[in-house]
Amino acid sequence: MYKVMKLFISLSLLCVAASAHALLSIEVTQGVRSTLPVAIVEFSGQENLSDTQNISHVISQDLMNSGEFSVKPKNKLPAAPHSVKAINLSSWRALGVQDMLVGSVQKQSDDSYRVAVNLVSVYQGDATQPVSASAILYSKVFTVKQDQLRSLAHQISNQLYKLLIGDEGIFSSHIAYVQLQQDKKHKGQMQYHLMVADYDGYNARALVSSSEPLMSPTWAPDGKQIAFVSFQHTLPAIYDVNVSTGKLNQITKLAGINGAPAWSPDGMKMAFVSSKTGQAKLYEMDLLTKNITQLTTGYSIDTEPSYSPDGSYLVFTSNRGGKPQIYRYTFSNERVERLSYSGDYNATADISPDGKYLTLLNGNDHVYNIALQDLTTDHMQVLTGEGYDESPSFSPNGKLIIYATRDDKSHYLAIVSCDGQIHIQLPTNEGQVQEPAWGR
Amino acid sequence: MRKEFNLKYKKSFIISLIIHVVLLSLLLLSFSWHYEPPIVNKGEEVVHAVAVDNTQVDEIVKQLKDQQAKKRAAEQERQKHLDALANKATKQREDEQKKLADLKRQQMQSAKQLKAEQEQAKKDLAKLQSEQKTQQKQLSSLQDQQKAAENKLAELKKADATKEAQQQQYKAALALQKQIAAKQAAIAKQRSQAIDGVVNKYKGLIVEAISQNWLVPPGTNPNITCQLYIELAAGGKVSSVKVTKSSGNSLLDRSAVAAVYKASPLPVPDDAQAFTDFKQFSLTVKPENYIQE
Repeated sequence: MYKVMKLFISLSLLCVAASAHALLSIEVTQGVRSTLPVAIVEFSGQENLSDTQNISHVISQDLMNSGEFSVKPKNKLPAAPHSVKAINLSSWRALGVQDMLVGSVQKQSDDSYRVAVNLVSVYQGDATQPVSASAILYSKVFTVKQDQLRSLAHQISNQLYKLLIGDEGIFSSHIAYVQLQQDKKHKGQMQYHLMVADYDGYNARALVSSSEPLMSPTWAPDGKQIAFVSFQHTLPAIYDVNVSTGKLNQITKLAGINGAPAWSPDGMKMAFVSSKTGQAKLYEMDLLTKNITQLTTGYSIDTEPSYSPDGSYLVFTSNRGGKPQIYRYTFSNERVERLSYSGDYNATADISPDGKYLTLLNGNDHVYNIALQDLTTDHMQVLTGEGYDESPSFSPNGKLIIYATRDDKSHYLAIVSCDGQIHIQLPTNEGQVQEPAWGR
Repeated sequence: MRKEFNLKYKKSFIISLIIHVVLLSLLLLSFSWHYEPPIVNKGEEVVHAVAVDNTQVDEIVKQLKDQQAKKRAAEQERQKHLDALANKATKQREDEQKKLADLKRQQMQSAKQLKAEQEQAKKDLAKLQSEQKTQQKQLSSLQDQQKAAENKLAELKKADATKEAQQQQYKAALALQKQIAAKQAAIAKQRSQAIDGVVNKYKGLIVEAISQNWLVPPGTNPNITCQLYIELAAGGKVSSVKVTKSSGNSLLDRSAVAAVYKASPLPVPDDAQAFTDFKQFSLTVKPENYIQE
């Protein structure tokens, strides 16, 4: 007891001594959520390349499209270094950018291009010293052909996005959509094209073309196939096409109208709509055995199914309540429940990759906009304001939504960020563009 | 007895002597007594005066007086005028000076305030230090007592005193220990109270400055924390930032480091003594919440 007491006394004395020399401790628990300020210095050696092949230009566009960055305008940059060695950190700190990209492009003797890229964290180490190794977040050299420069830029953008935002970028992803064009060769007959393009609308190419309507393109989870609806044989049927080979395959051979295909997350099943019993109802097909199960019943029209990321339920559009609204069909108990209550028209729902949000077409008094519904709180936020919007589809990382819209002059595709802050109009194509679907 | 007799005899002798002297002097006086009537002077002094015409003189005097008065008045008037001019000039000068002083005051106001704050901080610190010194003295005296108690206890143990005595000693020691603890708590409290005025103010300002510059990476787990060791140069300039405990998320770590550099120079006390606390400090960054910009 005596010893314990002595120890206690000396300990408490020690505490007094320690507190007198303790290091001051400060805690910060609140920050700011805003776009990340970055600088992208024009790479050297790109004078003879077009904007679409200009690596630093494409990366700038990508980062701005993501809505997560504010890329400093070229004319505001204090210098134009092309290598890490040439960077004077203090002038970039004065600019307020947190990260900067420098690089160079060199044409080789075999007409290939050598691309060197360096990402530097501006606020690492002493600003008066040369850039330290720990401040170089990314340093790579690529050699590509000229026609690969743009896809290389997208690839680099993805890596930068991962490093600076911590999430997967969507810059190498593709979109599919339907394009209607008057065919001059066939006396102005309408031609339907199933198109595939880069996420930003570049490198568009027709995968399937037909004089009969093509509809509802939807990507297989692996991004290798696209299912769609074709009116080739008078009655609409579901097909799929291999994106790289263009090989076609008819999936449904049922009587009546068959449409609105959706792939299950594992790619083994397909939900679709069929009117074989007279009413448009939801069905599911096992793609291996071709067995078909009817999911919904009744006299209402049920359409536009979309799987949840875990495959446990479908969302779909139904007029069972009078007007089109979004409902949920749960596989385990075969129950149907209504999800959307905001507005007098809700349709074409897509579930976010994390399963937390729905994007849908929300109509009020004949004004149709893209909206986002939080599935936890059921709060709905209208993201667009064009009034003629349709067919929203989530990006693979769930941060952006692509949709089709039009103005007085043309139909075009557009992208909106899930917070409604970023609006991007994709390059306008000839004719009408419809039903975009964002794939991998 | 003889002495008393001598005294009585002496007394009678003196009395008879006095009576003889008195009778003798009365006899002498009766011969020299006579009446002398008082002398009274009945005569009066005569004043001789010459008659002069007073009005003429008065006139001249009056004229002289008037002239003097006028001269005085003129002089007074002139003096008044000069005074007025002088006053006016003085007032003008005073006004200008006042204006200048006002301007200067305005200019100096912030500086003065700062200085006052600094001085207050200095005073607070000095007060704290002196209080602490006193407290330390008290504490050491308590500690001495404690030591004495300990020694006593040891002695008691050695002497194998009765259990009861030991227990009592133990209780006393325990009470002392409590007293020490209370004193320590009081010191700690006092110190923290004084710090409230100087250090806490700047801690708050630093938190604010870093918060405003901290771009929280999207989707960061709000439960992770990152710890930094920060060194400041004079004036609050950030001279080095080191990650002492990573959050495990390099994005968050980097965002925290950038936030500190971006907030440089950090607000720190001007007082050199108060600044000492901020020369090195530890910063814990926790992405609990953020403001959407």
